[in-house]
Amino acid sequence: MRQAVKWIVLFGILTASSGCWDNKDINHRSLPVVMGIGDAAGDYEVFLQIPEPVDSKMRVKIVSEKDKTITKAVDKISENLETQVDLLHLKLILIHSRCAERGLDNLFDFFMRVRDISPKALVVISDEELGSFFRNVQRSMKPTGTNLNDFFEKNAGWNPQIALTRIWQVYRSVHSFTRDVAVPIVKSGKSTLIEHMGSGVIRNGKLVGRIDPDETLLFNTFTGQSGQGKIEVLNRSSVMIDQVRVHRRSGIIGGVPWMNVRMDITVNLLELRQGTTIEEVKKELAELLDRRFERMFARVQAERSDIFALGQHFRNLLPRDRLREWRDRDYPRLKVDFKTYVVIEDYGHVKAN
Amino acid sequence: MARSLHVLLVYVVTHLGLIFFMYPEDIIASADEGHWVPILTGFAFHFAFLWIYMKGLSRGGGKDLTSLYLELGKVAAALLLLPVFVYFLMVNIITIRSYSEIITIVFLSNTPLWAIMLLLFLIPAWMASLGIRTIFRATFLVAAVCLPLVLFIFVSSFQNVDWRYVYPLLDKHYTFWNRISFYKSFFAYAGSFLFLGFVQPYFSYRIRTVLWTAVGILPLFLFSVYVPLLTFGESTASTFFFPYVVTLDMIQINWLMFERITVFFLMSLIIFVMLFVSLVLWQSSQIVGRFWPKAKTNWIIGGLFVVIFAGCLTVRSWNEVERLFIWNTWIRWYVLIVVPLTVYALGRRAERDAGGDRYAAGR
Repeated sequence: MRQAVKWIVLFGILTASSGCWDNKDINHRSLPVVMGIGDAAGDYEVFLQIPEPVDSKMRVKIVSEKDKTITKAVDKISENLETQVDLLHLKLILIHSRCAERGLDNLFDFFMRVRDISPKALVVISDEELGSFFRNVQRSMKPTGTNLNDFFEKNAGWNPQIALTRIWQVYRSVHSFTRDVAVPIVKSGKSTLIEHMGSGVIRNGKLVGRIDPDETLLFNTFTGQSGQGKIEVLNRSSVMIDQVRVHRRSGIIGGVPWMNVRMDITVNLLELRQGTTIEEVKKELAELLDRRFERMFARVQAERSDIFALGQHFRNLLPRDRLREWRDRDYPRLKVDFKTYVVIEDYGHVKAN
Repeated sequence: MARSLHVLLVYVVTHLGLIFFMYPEDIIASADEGHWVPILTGFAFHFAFLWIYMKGLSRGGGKDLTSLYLELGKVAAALLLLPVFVYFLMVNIITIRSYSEIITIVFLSNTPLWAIMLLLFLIPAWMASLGIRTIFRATFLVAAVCLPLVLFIFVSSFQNVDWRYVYPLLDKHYTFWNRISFYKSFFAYAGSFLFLGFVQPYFSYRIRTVLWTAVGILPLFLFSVYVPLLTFGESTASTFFFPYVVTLDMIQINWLMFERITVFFLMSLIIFVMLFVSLVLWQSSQIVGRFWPKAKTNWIIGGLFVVIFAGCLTVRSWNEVERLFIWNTWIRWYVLIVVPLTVYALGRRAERDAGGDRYAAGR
């Protein structure tokens, strides 16, 4: 008798603890992979891209709704769909640039707060109105169903000139004293699904400026995500980045912060214009990167956005109260001496002079 | 020695269950910079009183906590043990309530709270009714399965760390002394160490190995706070309720087939917490049993189960959990300081008496 009771209780625990309370089957759920957040006269316009299996193929459905809060808009979509919307598998957040310029702090507070959105989802900004963006994307999508997020995933279609930023990194930029991020900007493409336009520079969760793809590549090189990026030199030659090491030294002299950056870059030669020597390529590449860095840095410094996270190197030099004002007080006065040293590792199969 | 291993595992596992949730938040809230100072202060405190407590127990000659107190007479013992008993009850209420809240926040958002609490409590209560040996054996098994997993995830949580967030290393004007969250953080220490006084007759252990184990888990205390700090920076990490759990959500391991490894980590920790709950429940049943020898252990545990579960149900929101925590602070100090000191005094007395007896027996 006691044994029987014990078994019944155990069995009850087993059924109750399987996590299937109020469970909805997978065919009654919609699992969007992309969420678009547009600006509709002050309200949010929320787009969801939902893949749907139809006859062993994937079809993509795009739904949208406007409201004052994102939750309400998603709720409205869910209301009008025959299935329940479940944001668990969201992989990509697409934000219209107007929203981003207004500030993303509320939005990212929400993304971090809610339980079902993964903080690892990627963040992308769109210059195009989201309605037409999604229409174009849907039109040029293959019937087998490609995912927009493959464009950005490191183990799929990502390229080193695309910034790679996740929700939690933007959230960190909103709160952290000494660190900002760059977010890729896209629009729908003509022959390809989307077209990469460069990156947006974020400061405290606000879009304040832009850098082009070449600059983004340098940015990624600097932050150690350069995986095989290609650089054009002397308008007919090109090299591929193999290895990068960045040494930084920082200090404060007379209240003025300074920083020496030495970037050792190892490249492989890809294209070489006739009549150009290796030495010329090396010299030109170093100068090109130095120039590019200085130009870009002057711009982001003027926008007071620390996307290179240079402030991290002053955390041991400045007290916390000063760090709090890093972006406004010390960062604009920061002097950076950037120097690139190039080593050409190999020339491929063909000898070079 | 093998018996000693069981005790050490219980010590490690119960602390692991407590460290990774509320502790990081409390420490981060208690200081703006240089968080290692409050961590080490708390730890040194725990270490010192752990040593005093075990020293007292060993001088008492293998008697358990209740017997030591009972030598003072029933009334005095009851008075001294009442706060401990109340503390055990409250710890169980708080633990079950807050961990079921964590479970709802992190994965079972549809399951009603009472069901989670019931499950979280039923299994520990069953274990407690089977006695301390069962709890220890279960701990051994669970540790063998879950500890490697927990350590693996712990190591991979360093993925997004930026060591420069460690600065500023020192705070010029430490204020953690007068912040309540610093005192709340002692929850992680106070909950479990008393068990060393209850297992004495069943399992033996060496003081030195326990102290080394305590030092061994110090890195876990440090990094449960520092991993979120180093990933996000203080100003971001202080916006989270469970900073370490949030940090785990950021881990990206492409070759692992699971997307959210947080779930595995939390599952292991929740099993650890279940062991902790059953241990505390067993201890409180031991106290009751000594004062009321006629009652059957199972009935005592059943009664305690009803009381604690009713207590859990009356807590409605996270704010109330926090308030319970703060009320609890006073009894926690009693458990952390007064109990080790009195045990030490009683142990010395017992030793002296034993010595006197030997002398009187005509050696």
